[in-house]
Amino acid sequence: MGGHGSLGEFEQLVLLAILRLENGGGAAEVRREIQERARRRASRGALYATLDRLEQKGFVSWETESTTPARGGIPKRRFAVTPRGVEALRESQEAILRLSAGLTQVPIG
Amino acid sequence: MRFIPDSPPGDRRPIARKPPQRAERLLSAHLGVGPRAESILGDLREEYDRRLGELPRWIAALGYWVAAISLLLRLPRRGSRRPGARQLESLLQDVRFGVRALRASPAFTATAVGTLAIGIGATIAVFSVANGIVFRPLSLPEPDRVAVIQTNTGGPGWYGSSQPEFMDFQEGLASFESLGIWFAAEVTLEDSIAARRTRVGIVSSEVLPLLGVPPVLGRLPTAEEDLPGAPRVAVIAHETWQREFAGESSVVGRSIGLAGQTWEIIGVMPAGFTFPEPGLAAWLPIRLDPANPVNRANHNFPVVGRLRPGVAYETAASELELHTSRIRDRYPENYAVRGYRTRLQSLHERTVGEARAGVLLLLGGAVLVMLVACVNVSNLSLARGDTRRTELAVRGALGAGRGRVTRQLLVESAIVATVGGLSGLALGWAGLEALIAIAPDDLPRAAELGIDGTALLASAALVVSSICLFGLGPAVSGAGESIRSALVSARSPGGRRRRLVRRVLVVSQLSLAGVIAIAAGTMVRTLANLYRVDPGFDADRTLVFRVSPSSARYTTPEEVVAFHRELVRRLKAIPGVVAVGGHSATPLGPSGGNLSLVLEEEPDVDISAAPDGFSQIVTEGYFEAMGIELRSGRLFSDTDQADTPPVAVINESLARVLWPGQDPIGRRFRMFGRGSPFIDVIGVVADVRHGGPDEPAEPRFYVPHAQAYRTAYFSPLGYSYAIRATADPAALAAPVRAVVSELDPLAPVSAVGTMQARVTASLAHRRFVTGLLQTFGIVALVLAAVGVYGVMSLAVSDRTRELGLRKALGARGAYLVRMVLRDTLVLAAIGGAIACLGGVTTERLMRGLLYEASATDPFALLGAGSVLAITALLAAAVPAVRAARVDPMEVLKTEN
Repeated sequence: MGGHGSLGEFEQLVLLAILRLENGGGAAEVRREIQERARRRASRGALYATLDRLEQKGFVSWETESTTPARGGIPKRRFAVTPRGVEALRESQEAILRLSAGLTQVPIG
Repeated sequence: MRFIPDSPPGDRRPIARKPPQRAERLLSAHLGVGPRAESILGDLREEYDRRLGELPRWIAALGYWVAAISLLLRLPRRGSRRPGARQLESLLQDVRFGVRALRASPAFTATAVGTLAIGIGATIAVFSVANGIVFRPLSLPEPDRVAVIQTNTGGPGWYGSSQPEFMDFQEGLASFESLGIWFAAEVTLEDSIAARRTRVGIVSSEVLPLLGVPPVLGRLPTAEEDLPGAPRVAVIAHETWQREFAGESSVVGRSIGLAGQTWEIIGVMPAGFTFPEPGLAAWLPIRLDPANPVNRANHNFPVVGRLRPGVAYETAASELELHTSRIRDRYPENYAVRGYRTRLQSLHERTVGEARAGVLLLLGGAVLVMLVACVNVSNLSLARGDTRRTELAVRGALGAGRGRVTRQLLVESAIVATVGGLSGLALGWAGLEALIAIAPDDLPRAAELGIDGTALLASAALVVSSICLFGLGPAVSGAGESIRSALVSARSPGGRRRRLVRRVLVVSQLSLAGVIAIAAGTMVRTLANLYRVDPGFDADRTLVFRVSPSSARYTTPEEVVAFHRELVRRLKAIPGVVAVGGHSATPLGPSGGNLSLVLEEEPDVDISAAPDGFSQIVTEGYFEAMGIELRSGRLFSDTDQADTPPVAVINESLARVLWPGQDPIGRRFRMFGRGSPFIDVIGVVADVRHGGPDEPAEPRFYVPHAQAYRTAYFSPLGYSYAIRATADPAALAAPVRAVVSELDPLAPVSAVGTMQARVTASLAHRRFVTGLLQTFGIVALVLAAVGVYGVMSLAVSDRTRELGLRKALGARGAYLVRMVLRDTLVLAAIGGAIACLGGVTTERLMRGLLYEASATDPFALLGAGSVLAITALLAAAVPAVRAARVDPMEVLKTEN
C-alpha cells in the first residue's frame, strides 16, 4: 500500500464514479453514478465529506466552471481523479484481487 | 390535499425558485466562503430547481432541508464563528448524538415514532374532516348572516313555508335584508345525445343575489323574469357549462332543454356553488304569482334569508317569533287547532345537519387515540429515562451541566417527535383520502375536504406538545441526580414513586381505550338493532327505478294513466318478473305529499283541524312487488279504474288516527281540496317505515294511479316502479330500459337500483361512523396493550429477586403467573371503572346516532370491560410467563 494511507470502500466508489464520468462530473453526477451503478445509498453529507477527504489526500482535484441559471449564478465544481488518486485506487483494487485470488466462494474480476 | 398552490408551469418567477432561505443561510455559514462552499450550495440549488419542476414546492423545500441537515451533520464547520454559532455547533452535536442514541435502541425508537405517527395521523385525518364539514364557514360572503326559516303547522318535524306565509315574512320581518324561497326538483335534461335526469334548483329571484355569490359569466334572473308568463331564463352550473357546452364563453344567450321546456341561458355560477344542494345542473326562476298566491296550507317552499348587517341572530329569531304569533292570530282557520310555529336555523347548521353528530363523535375518538398515544410515549420515555439514569449521572459527574443534559434529552425527543410528526402527516393524508373514499355519498361538503392550514397547525401543536411531554419527564427526573444514588439504584430502575406514576399512566390509557370501546360497542349494537327492525317492506329481489316521460307528449290525465297502464303490462311480460308496482314515493326516499283529509262523518272541518296522511299513488301490483302485507280487507285489482267507484287502502297508523278502535273497512274520506270525491277504504296494510329503520311509520294512504287524478289531485307522469324478480333483480335493469325505450324513446329511466342497496345506503352514515370507531378502538387497545406490556415487564424485572426467592422457597410457577395477572386485572378494573364514567359523557355526544342502544347499558359496559381485561391479560402474558421462568439459582448468583 502507498504511504499516503489506504482507501476506504466508499472512497473507492467515489473515485471510480469520477473516473466513469471521464473526470468531468459534478458532485450531483457522482452521487447519481454511485446510486445507480453501485446501487449504494450515498447521503450528500457522506459524499461531500469524502470528497473533502480525498482532496486533502491529494487524490482528487477540481476546477470551477461557469454556471447555469438553475444554479442561481453559482459556479460548479467538476472533479477529476489525480494521478496519485489513480495509483491509490489501483493499489486498493490489486490488494483485493490478491487476497481473493483462488477463493472459490468470491469469484470476482 | 390542499396546500399553497404551486406556481403553474411556465410561470418562472425567479423569486419563487429560491430554496428555503433559512436553510441556505445556515448551510452557507457552516461551509464558509470560497468556491468549494459556493459550489456545494449551487449543487443543492440545482437539485431544488429540478425538483420544483416535478413536485409540489413544500416537498422540494422539505428535500432541501433534509439535504442541508445531512451536510450540517457530516461536514466539519469551516465558516467563521458568528455570535450564537457556538450554540448552533453544540446543538448540532446534540442532534448527532441523539440520532446515534436513537439508532442504538431501534425497538424504542420505532415504537415511539410509530405511536406518535398513529396518534397524529388519526387526529389530522379526522380533524380535517371535522374542520371541513363542521367548523369551517360556508364559502359564501358573510355566511353567518344567511339563515333559513322553518315552519311547523302540525305533524312531526320542520318543513318549508307556503307562499302566503313567505309573503308575510317579506312584509313583516325587518331583520332581513332579503328573503327568498326555493325547492329542488328532478327534471329531464335534454341534449343532442340522450335525455337524462338531473336535479335543478327552482329559486325565487331573491335567492341567488342574497347568497352573495356572483355568476362567473352573465347575470342572475331579475324580479320580472320571476313572474308567470315571463320569458324562460336559466342560470347553469359550472359543471353543466363545462360538460354540455365545453366551457365556451358564448354560452350566454344559448338555450338549454330542461323539464320539457327551452330556457335561455343568462348566466353561469362558479364551480363549488352548491346551494341548496350539491350537483345541481341549473337554477330556474320559481315564477310564482304574488298577486295570486298558492294555498296557505301548502308548505312546499323552504325560505332562506340574509340578515341586515349588524342584526344579531337572536334579534332576528325573536322578531320572527313575534311575527309568527301575529300571523297565527290573523288566520285562525289555518292555525287555530294545530298551531303555527317557526324557527330560524343558520344555513351552516342546515347544510351540516345530521353529519355533525357523527363527525364530532369521530373527532372525539381520534383525540382519545391521540391521548392514548401520548401516554404511551411518555410511558416509554419514562422507562427509557430509567435505563439511562446511569449514563446521565455519569455525564453529570463529568461536568455536563443540568441544562445541557436536559437539552440533550429534549433534542432527542424533538427528533422522535419530528420523525413521528412527519410520518403522522403522511399517514393523516393517506387516511383522509381513505376517509373520503369510504364516506357515505350524502356526506355534506365532501368536495371541500382537504388538509388545510388549520389541520397542519393543529398537528404542529401536537408535535410540539409531544416533544415536551416526551422529553421533559426524564429530563426533570433524571438530570442532576447524584452519581452515587444513580449507580446504586441502577439495578432496580423503578423507584416506588415511578412505579406508581407508570401505573397511573397505564390505567389512564386503559380507561381512554375503554371509552372508545364503549362508544364503538354501542354503535355496533345500534346498527344491529337497526338491521333487525322490520321496515314493513321486503327488500329482497326488488329492483326500483324511475320513469320520466316528457309532459309535452302526455297532456291529459287519461293519456298519463294509459301510458303507465301499458308500461305495467309490458314490464310484467319480462321473463323473471314476479310483480310490478308503480308508486309515487319509493320507501327510504322522499316521503311524498302530506295531505289534509276530510272524513265523511265530519264534512265541515277547518283546514287547521283536518287530519292528514301521506299519499302514495300506486298501481295494483305495488303491495306484492314491495312485499307489504295486507292486514284486513282487500288490495287493489285491475278493475279499480277511473270510471269505477273510488277506493283507497290505508296503513295501520292512519287507521289508528282516523278511526281509533274501529274497523276502517267501508269508511269514507276525501282530500280537503274542493270537489274531491269521497273514497271507500277497502283494505288495511302493514306500516312501512318510509324514512328509514329508525324513523317511525307515518300515517299513509294508497290510491290507485288510474283514479288518483280524480281522488287525490293528480296521477303522476314521472313515476317510480318496483319490480319483484324471481332471481337477481339487478339483471332486470337492461330489459327494463329496453321495454321503456320501446314504449317511449324520450322517457329516461333513472335511479335504477335494488331495494337492498337502498337499505344499505340508508345506514351508510352510521356504518361509516361505526367502522371508524371500531378502528380507533382497536388502535387504542393495541397502544394500551403496549403500555400494559411495558409496565408489567418492568414490574417483573423489578421483582426478579423477590420472585427468585419465592421460587427458591417453594412457590410454583403457576402461582407467580397468577400474581402478575392479578396485578394486571386490578389495573384493568380501575381503567374499566373510569371508562364507564366516560361512557356517560360519550352518550351525550352520541345521542343523535343511537337507536335503542345506550352507552350506559350493562351490556355495553360489560362488553367493553371484558375487552379491556382480555387485552390487558394478553399484554401481560409474556411478562407473566417470564416471571414463572425466573431461575432462583441465577438470581441468587448475582446477589452480592
